[in-house]
Amino acid sequence: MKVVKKRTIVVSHIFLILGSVLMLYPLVFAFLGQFVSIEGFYEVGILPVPQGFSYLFSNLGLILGRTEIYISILLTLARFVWYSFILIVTSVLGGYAFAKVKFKCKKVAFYIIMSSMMIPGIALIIPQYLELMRFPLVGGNDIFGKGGTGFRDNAVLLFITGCFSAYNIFLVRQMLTQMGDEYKEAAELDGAGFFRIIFSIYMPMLMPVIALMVVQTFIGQWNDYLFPKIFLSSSPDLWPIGLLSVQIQSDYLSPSGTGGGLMNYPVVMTMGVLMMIPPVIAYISCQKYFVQGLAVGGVKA
Amino acid sequence: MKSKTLVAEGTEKPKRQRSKRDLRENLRGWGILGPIILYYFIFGIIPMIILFRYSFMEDDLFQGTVFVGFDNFVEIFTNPDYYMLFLATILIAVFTIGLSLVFGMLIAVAVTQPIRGRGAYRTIYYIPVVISMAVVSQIANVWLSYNEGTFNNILKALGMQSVAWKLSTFWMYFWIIFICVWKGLGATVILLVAGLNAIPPELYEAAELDGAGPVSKFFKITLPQLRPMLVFVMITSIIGAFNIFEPVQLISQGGPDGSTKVILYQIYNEAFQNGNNGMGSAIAVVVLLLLMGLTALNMRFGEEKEEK
Repeated sequence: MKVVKKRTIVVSHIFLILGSVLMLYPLVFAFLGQFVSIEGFYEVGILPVPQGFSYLFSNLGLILGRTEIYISILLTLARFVWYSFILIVTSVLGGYAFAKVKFKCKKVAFYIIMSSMMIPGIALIIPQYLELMRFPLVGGNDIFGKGGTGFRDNAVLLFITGCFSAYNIFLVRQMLTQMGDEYKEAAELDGAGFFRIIFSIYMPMLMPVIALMVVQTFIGQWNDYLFPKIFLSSSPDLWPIGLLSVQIQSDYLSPSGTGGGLMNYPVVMTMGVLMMIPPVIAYISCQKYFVQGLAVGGVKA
Repeated sequence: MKSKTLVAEGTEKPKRQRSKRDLRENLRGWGILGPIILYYFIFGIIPMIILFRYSFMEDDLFQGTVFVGFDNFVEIFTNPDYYMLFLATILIAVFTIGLSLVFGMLIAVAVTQPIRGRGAYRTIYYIPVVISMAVVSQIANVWLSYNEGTFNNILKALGMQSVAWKLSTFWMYFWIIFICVWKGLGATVILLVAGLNAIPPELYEAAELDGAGPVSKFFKITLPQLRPMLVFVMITSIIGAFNIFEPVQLISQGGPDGSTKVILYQIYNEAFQNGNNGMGSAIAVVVLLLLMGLTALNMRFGEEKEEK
């Protein structure tokens, strides 16, 4: 057993506690800031001193009184459900095909799909936008993609990009390769069909990876800001919560947004806290998958 | 062993049955991967073709989109407005990655000591990773406001002058880097902890028998053993640094005087604010080639790791 000096432990604790304070400072600040009056916030120092619950309720009233927020949350949840579903299907089926199915040109297919990891998202923004706005036979476009507006301001945009992840396919393939063919062969002897073998025999064993995919999809969709900012900038009624919340914060950060009145910082804090709660809860409740998944990905990718 | 014999039996089946089986396997494999590859073709490959084509074009108000050859690329490498984007991004990347690695390493070493509350610490350090960068940037706007901002309140309370944070290049860099480090530190820590836990304890025991102190153990065992993981963290962090957008767009707006314009922010500006898809595409092509090189490097190091 490794013997560790007491001093090392004390120093570690002090260092980690100082770091934790810094990590949590913005969260605590935003949380306490909700209980402060508009004028009171202009005097706030290192941490806001709560003045009363009524301020929190008036902030909540301002935010929850905006009807567009409910549609926005519904859209975000719809995106989450759709992307979880399609990512699980493509990753499990794709991973299974590479791990357990023997077909011609498997290596070629593998390299084609893995090559998608070489394309960074930043390079796809402009051409994907151009392509979607000139998509043939959509939004009044002819077969050559001319004449109409394509997918401009179309809700389909929220569900059409990023429907598979080469990394997740790779991860599932790795796990299935380690699992061996015995299950498959035994099930085949019992007369189980192809999809039945995948979904009722192998999928339960893939649960840790699938759980990680679902949680990451939730956090990604909840926080998504850049995609709607670019692809749907002209249709605010289709903004997911990740963008709408920032817009609401912007409204209260400038005097013009509050009707020429004072800048309402406490509302900015309440909006921030409301946005932080779901992903933090999702992360903490599924933490064990995170550590496993990131460790597998990090060490083996 | 068992599976091997079963496969061997399978290959001894009559030829017709085998070919039928092969056909079925081919249908299954391509039935699954065909649609995925088709989708990738539509949403990955075609956009790449559009990107390269557009990088040689310019959007002209009167003539529409015109072919301009390598003009965009020449512009990127000769006009300071454009090559400074890369320098600004690299500057932010170097500091963000350097600070994340130094602090991440210290935290990872501390958190792998046999101390109480290790799990709680790891949870806390990872929380910023799951929070929206844009929402945090808006909260930072409250801190950095000149007249009623929190930080200036603190300075005033200490009897100091207010600072015009947003008019100072230094402070804008400082806060952008600060937010990026704060946000990404937890991910670095988790990876480094995984790397540290993978080091065989016998190495340390042997070193202790030889009378090595903690400092020499760190430099002689920990760092060399952690090298592949450090390379992985470094390269993924560089790729991440090219995606910095929210703090720049929401806090500094590229300012003061365009000094904090980073690549993604400029691509967004060129294409979606100025309507110049050609220039935006050319910048994206340069980034694409850079990142492809880095990813290839990463894969090579990854293979080295697996061989070990």
